[in-house]
Amino acid sequence: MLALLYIILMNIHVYDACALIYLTKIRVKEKLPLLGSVIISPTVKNELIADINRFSDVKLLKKNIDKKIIEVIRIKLNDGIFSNNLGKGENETILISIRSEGIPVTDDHQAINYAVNCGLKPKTSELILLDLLKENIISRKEFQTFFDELAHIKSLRPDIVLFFKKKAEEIIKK
Amino acid sequence: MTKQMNFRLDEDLIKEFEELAERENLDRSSLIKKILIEGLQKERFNFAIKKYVLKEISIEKAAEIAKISLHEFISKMAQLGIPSNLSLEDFKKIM
Repeated sequence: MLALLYIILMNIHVYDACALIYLTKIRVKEKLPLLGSVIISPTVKNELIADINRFSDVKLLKKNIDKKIIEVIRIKLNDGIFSNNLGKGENETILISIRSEGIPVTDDHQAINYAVNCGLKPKTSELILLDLLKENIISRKEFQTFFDELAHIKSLRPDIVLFFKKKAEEIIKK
Repeated sequence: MTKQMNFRLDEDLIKEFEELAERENLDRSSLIKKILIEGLQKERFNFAIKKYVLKEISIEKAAEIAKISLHEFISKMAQLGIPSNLSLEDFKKIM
């Protein structure tokens, strides 16, 4: 219990829109605060609540933002930290992570590489699922269900699926 | 505000437009305009997907180019079975 409290207090997760959309789709979003603060930038907020009448996930995300379960942090992009290959939300996510010593959570190749180049250690939805398993927030069975769903939505390549299943087994064995 | 744009088309193509316009109960220019708008949206999406798959741009940037919301972009990618641009190497790098 104390260990879990420590994790919540210490970890700041700064999510981009893509990662939060995927985690909402697989119904894991509600568990994210158990891993630490759920932070987003203003642009990411706008991306998450766009198309509210067309996608059911959007209403859920908006409710979480209104209730401050997902916290919005204002930020101004400066010229020094900006990649033209990324969207504004992804750039803001990386900048907030640098300033808050947080962990950027993104499911994009370009964003991951840019975050690594900025000295950050980003995570993806898959890694968040592994963390939930590691901290006993989800069971082995739940992990399998959530991961299979994520792999389906993201059309993950078989080598990646195998890699994460092995990682999950390693965690379970410990 | 609208602007006039002139371009030449093959006679056969014009005939095809006229036939379809008649079937759809539209005038010829309305049909061409409709096809142009739909074609432009499709082209923008295909271009964005290509850039994304080639790992030249991020998913958010791709949605921006396609001029659709990220929710719609992700949903279309899933429908088309387009894989995430993350590779095993990307994961190994951050673990």
